[in-house]
Amino acid sequence: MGQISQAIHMVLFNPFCLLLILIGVVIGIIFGSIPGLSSTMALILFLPMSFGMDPMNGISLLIGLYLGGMSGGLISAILLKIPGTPSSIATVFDGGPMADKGEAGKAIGVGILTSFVGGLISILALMFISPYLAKVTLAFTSAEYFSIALFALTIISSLSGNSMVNGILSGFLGIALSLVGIAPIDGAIRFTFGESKLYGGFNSVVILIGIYAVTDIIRAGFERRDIDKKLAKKSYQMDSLYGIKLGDYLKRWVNIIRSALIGLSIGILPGIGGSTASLLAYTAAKNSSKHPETFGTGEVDGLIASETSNNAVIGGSLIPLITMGIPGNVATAVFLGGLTIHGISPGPLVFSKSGEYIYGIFIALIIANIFMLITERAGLRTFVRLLDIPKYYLLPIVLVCCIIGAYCNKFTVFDVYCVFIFGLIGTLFKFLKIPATPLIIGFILGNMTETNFRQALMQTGGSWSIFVTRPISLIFLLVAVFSVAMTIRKQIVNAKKGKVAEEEEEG
Amino acid sequence: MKKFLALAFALILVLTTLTACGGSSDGTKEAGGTTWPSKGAVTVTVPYSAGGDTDTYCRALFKLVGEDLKQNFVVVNTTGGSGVAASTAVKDAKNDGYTLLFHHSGVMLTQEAVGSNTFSFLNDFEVCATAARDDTYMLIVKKDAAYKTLDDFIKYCKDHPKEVKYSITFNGATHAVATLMEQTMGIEMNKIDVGSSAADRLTAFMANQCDCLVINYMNVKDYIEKGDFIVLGVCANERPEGMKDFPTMKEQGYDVVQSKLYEIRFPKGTDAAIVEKLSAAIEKAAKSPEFADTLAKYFAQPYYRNGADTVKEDAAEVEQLKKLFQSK
Amino acid sequence: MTDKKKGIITSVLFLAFSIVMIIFAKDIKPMMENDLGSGFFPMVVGIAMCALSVLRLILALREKEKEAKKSNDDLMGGLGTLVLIGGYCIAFNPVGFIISTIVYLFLQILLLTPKAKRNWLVISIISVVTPFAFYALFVYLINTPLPRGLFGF
Repeated sequence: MGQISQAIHMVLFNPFCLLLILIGVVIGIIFGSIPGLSSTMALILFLPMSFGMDPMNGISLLIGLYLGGMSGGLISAILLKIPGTPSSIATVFDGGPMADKGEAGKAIGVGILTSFVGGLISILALMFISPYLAKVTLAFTSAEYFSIALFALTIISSLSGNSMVNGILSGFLGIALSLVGIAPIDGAIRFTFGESKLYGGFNSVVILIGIYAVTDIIRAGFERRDIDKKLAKKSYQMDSLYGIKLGDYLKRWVNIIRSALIGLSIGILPGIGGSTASLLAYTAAKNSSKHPETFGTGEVDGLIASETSNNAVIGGSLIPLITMGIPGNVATAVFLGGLTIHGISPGPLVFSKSGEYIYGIFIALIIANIFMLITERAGLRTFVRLLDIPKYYLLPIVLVCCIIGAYCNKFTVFDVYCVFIFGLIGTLFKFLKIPATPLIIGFILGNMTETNFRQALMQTGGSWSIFVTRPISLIFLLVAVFSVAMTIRKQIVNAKKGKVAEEEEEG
Repeated sequence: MKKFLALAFALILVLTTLTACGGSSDGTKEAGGTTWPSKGAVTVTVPYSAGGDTDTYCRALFKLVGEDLKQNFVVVNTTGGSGVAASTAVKDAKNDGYTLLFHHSGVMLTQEAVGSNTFSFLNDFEVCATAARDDTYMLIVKKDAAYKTLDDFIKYCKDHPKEVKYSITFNGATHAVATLMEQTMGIEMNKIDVGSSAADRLTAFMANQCDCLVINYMNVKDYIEKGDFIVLGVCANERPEGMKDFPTMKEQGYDVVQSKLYEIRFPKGTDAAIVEKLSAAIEKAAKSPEFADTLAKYFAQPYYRNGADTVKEDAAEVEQLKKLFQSK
Repeated sequence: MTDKKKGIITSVLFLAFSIVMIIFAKDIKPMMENDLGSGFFPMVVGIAMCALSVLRLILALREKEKEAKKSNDDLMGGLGTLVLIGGYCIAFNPVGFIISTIVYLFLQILLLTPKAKRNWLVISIISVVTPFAFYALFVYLINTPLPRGLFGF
């Protein structure tokens, strides 16, 4: 009990600490909302600053940045249809169309609310059941990771729209791109064509910016005659505080809980990431919906699935960090650095050695989550005003942002060139009617698939049976096969329907 | 609208003056013969991701160096290929003094001795200085393992050749340790890749994907304290500060030593005056208590060597390692 | 262009890509004991891609040639934007952030703005203020360097 009251004193009754959380949240939102910048970047930037502070204050600042940054991504995803970070890719699918329909205010409002709920569920899980959940981390070995990656890749087939073959080709290209550079495990140099700048491989943010933002502005050039087309103006009217009536929101509890659980579980597994979580949650919501055809046209459930799950990753990713000292992504690794420098070492003894700080972290997380809910809502009107700026001013400025973001990743112009090249690829894809999202999914999952596949086979000395003899792995493989089979069946049914419709038209 | 215009113009005015001031400080030659680093921020490339030990040491060091030289040193994390991606990027960068590499000898010298790279860490860079050392690499096993001491471990390995799973990163520091162990102890282990970051390898170890692990003390300190893991031996010449409870491999009769010396390198052909100037600044920073404090959190120590000494001692070590790898 | 032709182009492009991939993957040999090697996975992906692009080609060839909708694309606007972004990326480092951004923004906004809406004053102000504001934000506020280029800023 002493530790808890100490924690309350350090955070809740400490105005400076509260202020730092607020500052962190606001800066995080800004970093998250600007395409090309990310919460991770904000964390790295402010890490040295946190070293100089009181431990709890420094950690609270980092917490604010992490939470704000994770949720800020929804703003650019909805308003600009550019996912600021990979974890908001799925937010674009329905958030974008909602904004087009004049529901930008509602979309952002719902996004904020559901981010809050997703974050809260995962934080509560972190606080109360993390020792049990941490064990899950250890049940997953390379074989399971491979099967999850394979299963996640099957999302591509259901996200490819009506040109499944094109979508899968696009996905394969993404996987191929992820292979460029120094290979995992043995360090072989692959597909670099003698260019040493490719040794580190492509950066997912660079591809994201190229495919979404640059392609977007080039398309705007081709369609400049229509650039001034007015969006529906009624737009920002919202019928309640967060754009959705509480009853209407709670009615979707199955989706909310499911998405939060998906985010939480993916968060617990080191190294998978928010992008996979939100894509999985989105697909799950779509496949279990009574009206899957509305997904992609501005369906609130799609938006809820994506934003709930990617914020639920936050609490999830802190579980292995705090209970075992294992950071699952760069953000939590930075966190670990911030804790270590203050002499707090997360792991099996953390509660007995520095429990007050861990309880402090829990309190700071909840406060940061509340601050996020309030500040983002307060800024909503300003965000939505972005849409009032004529596109011919807005898009070029966004592009400049994107180029800065690409450059600041590693401070090399090479990444800037890559952004342009991926913009060209995106434009070509638009022209040939090839969906580009599968490319990004393939890229994100490619490395994970290969590495874990090879690692699993190393374990067994080359026997492939490991993937089916381990139950969790087998389940994911079966689900993957099932999901592909379902999509193919749907395609065939649709194709038949299409043919009938065509013949009727002709006849 | 008018208000907006006025505001905008005021902003431009302020900003132009600001940048003009920023630019005018250039061009004064110092006694040392170089105005470096007045031209702008210096990028320091680290081959590991943010938040880890190497990254933390680097940020702590260059924060002090930056304050001293009145310039911004920006740390860039370029991961991939056991440091090869970062090293190549710096090797191929412009040699104007504005790009440098912060890397540790554990990986560099192993790669140098194996000859796995198309370049040499000793000849194809301007070696600037060494700033810190970390002797906390240790061999650990789980408490429920069939062996609790190094001798038991070796006996078990001899009875079960190629069975004990060892987490290796190909051409990395753990690769060198594996070779050293196999050579001096006369054993053969099953060396598998379970990931390259400390986090991945620790997870795999706990999930029983490998049986023994060579890792930095910091990552497993609490597990050892709690009794979950057992230390078989530290890969250091003598017991490091703060780790007096654990025997070294050497005192148990096996010459398995793997220190990580953190070294700073410029691309080949960088002006000697620049290299000197940074080396001096690093010496100053390495001697500051602030830097020592940061390192102490990870049980590492400040350790300064100038460029020439670094090259000389590294080259000697590479020769030793080479013999080891060849005799295999 | 008809969908059929687009389909044929798609399949040919991917086919070529996958063949190049297979050729390169063939030469990557395993280096470690117990490992499949870094060539295995690229090979699998290459072969799968190759097979799929053949399937795509067959589908495209079987497709009926439909009258293509007349494209409403403004080539001047699209290609112009392409050239501008390309030029901006190339000039970004050598010319420096501020100057390259001023020029890019000015020309890009000019290109996108419908003739009737062109307001030279507003365009000029936006293209000058934006880069300075970004520069101040990044370089001074968060200590992140941007290319200074020709004139030292």
